[in-house]
Amino acid sequence: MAFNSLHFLIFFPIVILVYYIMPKKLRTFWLLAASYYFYMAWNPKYIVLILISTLATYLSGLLLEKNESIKARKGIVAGCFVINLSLLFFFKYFDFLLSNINFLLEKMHISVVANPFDVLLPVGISFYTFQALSYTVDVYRKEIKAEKNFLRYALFVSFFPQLVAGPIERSKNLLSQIENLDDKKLFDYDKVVSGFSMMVYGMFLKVVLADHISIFVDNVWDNTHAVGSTVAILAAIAFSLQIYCDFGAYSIIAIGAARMLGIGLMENFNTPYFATSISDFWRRWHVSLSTWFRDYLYIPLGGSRCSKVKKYRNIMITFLVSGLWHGANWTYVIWGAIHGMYQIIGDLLKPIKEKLCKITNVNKEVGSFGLLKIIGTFALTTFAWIFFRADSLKAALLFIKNMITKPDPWVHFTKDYLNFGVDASDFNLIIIGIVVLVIVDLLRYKKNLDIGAFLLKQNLWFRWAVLIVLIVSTLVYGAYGTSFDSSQFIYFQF
Amino acid sequence: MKKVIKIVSFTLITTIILALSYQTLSWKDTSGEYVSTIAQLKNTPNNTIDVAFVGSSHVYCGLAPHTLWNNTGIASFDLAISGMDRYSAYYYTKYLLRSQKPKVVAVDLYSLTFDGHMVLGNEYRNMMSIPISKDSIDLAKEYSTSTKEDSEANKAINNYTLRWPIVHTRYKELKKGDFIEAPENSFLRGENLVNNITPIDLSEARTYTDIGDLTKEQIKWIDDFVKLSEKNDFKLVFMVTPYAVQYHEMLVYNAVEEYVSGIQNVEFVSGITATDTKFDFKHDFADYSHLNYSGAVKFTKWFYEKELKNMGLKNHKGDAKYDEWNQDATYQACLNVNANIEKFIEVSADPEAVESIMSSGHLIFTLAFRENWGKYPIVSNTLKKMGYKDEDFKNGGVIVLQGNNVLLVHDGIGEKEKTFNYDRYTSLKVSGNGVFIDAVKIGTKEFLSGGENVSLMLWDINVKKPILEKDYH
Repeated sequence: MAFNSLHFLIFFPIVILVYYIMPKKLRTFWLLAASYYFYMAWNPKYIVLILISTLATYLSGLLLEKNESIKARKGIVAGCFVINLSLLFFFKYFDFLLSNINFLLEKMHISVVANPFDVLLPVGISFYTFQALSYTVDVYRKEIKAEKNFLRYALFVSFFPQLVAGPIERSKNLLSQIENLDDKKLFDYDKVVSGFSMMVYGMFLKVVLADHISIFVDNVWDNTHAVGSTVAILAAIAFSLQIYCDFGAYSIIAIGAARMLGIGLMENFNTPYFATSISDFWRRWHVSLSTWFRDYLYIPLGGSRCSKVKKYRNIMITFLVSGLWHGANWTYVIWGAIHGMYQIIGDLLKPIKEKLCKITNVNKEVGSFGLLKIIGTFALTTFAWIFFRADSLKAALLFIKNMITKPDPWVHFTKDYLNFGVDASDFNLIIIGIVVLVIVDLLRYKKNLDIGAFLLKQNLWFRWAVLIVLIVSTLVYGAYGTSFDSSQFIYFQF
Repeated sequence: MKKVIKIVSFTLITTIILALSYQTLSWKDTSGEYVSTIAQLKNTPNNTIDVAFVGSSHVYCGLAPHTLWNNTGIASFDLAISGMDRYSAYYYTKYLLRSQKPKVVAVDLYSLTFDGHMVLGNEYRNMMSIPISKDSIDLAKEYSTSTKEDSEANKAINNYTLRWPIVHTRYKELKKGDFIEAPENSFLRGENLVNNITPIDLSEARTYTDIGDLTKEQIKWIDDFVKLSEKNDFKLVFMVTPYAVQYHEMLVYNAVEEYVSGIQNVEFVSGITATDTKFDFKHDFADYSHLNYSGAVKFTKWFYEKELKNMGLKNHKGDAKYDEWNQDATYQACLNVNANIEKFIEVSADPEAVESIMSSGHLIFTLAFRENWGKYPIVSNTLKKMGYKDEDFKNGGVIVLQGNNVLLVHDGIGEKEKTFNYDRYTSLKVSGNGVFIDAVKIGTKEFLSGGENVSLMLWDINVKKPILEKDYH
């Protein structure tokens, strides 16, 4: 069930209403039932996978608590990883592996080993397996105690607001809140208002902004052969915004929905395009995933407290795995590699940059310097997104070639970019949406307030006006219905 | 309690704003340009319609309620939508029966010859013009499941039931008619008569006597209508309007004729096979599918003779409750004048022609001319009719008339500026520079622009828009 579906518009109010009127003791059961229904509305069969992952990690927790032998504990963790990663590997990467083996065999004139299975990728499998695995590791590290109540644990793995696209929650945060569901306040008006505001804003970002931008981006990518530099650059920037609005929207809706239920989820995006360096970008972008990789991969590999070579190796491994996590395609691997390289090169060039600034007498304290760094970081991430968006490496390279070799400044005057699925009114709509996005992000950046918390602090009339404008704009200007093929949230595929 | 009031108030305000937005975005057109048979039906007092004609453009072009009204005082109505499908015909009739008790319902059989709509606009018109109700939901279900693939049917049912997923995309095409109801909707009786002329030949169609097989669905549709007529006590007439029919369509019509021949209180009439309609096949058709104005008048008279004459239907003339029918008749007469106006203007040397236009009270006549207007008789004829001499306007001028009322005169002399409002949104502004007319604008558009010596505009007060704009170089 997608957040931007009629199904969810009916489902969620029912969940909320029943949740607040039913006896507190039944809340865990109710949310679990709602979460399973939420997932099964997409494909009932694949609920088995969540159950396997839940059972494996739940049992691993219990076993870890009973075993003190390091060898046995390591074995339990390894077994749990094998089960979860096998699921992930089979459903997400097996066909990718087969097609690569076949490609190599064909090059060597050897017949193919097997045809790809063409299995449907279970929605959110990368998210819930990682969330469940983090629990096992945390119990192994004795950072938390194992959860004895299976229903509570099952809800932790499958909590519907963040089940299919994150944030990838930590047991320390989410599980402890689930344990206290029975004690939670009956109805917290402020949390409901704040959560509702976030959901409304998230829907606006997704349906009005991301889905309209995607029409332009998709049209450009479908016609790469006919695209010159200006349109290619515009499309690259547009995709940067699209993926932020799309994935950011999902997280905002998820956090808002959970907040309405009285549960706080971790922040997943913190104004990523205001980042002043690539490492800063990764502290702000998909925070739940980047901290997961930091805590469960980068640091165990040795992190940065080792030699420079090892540190760079650790960075590259982390980003390559992160790229692969996003999708079974070489384009994602390259995207991860580019980000790894950005970090390494940035680190290597740091002394040179410092010297250059000193020689040229650059004042690093002025706002324009910060703005330049923000623009530079945005340009670097936008370039990397090209590989993320491309269907193949060949397509990405053609796109980049067009960006560089087909200068067409007249497009600014002939407005040929309006030939790619969005007309002037859509374009204006996108511009207005981006202005709204920038205002909200500035609020977050300067005052450290999310839209829900910000609106809660405002006068009633202002809050209502903003919410009503967002609701009506979303319903009227949203890219959904018969004229649009309402696109899925981009991150559903991961 | 305070929080509950806040939540309820917020929900209420949001709902009201969304309802207003829906009203603006909703589909309002059943035959073109925001003219809607449903809006006209809504503006009809309850239990006034005696005869209802139900069907597609064949009906709104082919049956003229004003003819019945003028000749007999019978109150009839065209419940007609472009390309009306058979499912819509049934549920729209049910909708009409909620507020009306017609004695006769004549259903056009054209809808029985096709399934889904070829034009998406027509599907929207038919699925979304009927107000949201159980009938509209049943219509969406029956139409979608009968005409679409399973995978598409559910989506279509949801979309047509909720409507918002479709109509919200109209935000790019909103026009004045989305905010202000078309004036015609307050009094028209469903007809949309046209004046084009296309000669057609029905002689071959009349030889198509083969009888086809009706499908189960077609038989069910006929039976449903028969049940509806029994339940609501009206005479049911299955009707075929005249047009250049195809062989496969005649198979259906002939089969229906045979099927209903034994059913009591159900009639079948065909304007195709009838030989006593008095049609002039060279002049009475607008195109191969529709009658024109004169054809519709003849077909309506024929239908009256055939099906209504002996029904004892009441003459409602003089009854204030039937004012819409009077307005409709007046409007149709005006339309007839409008249709011929261009011809009058072309021969405007004839003072009688100018007088004929000027005496049409529904038209506001606006004439602007420069100092060298001498060779255009329309100006001198107009001035003569108003009692002016040509010399009075030797520097040019602007004249606005309605019937015999002079609404604005500007002779170009003096630096004065004059304005005239045609309606709340359209105005004329005339500026003189002391010697001659300097600028004439209607709205923001220049009237009598640089290239013209004389410009004429006829504004129809019924439809609140120009029906003729002509420049004489």
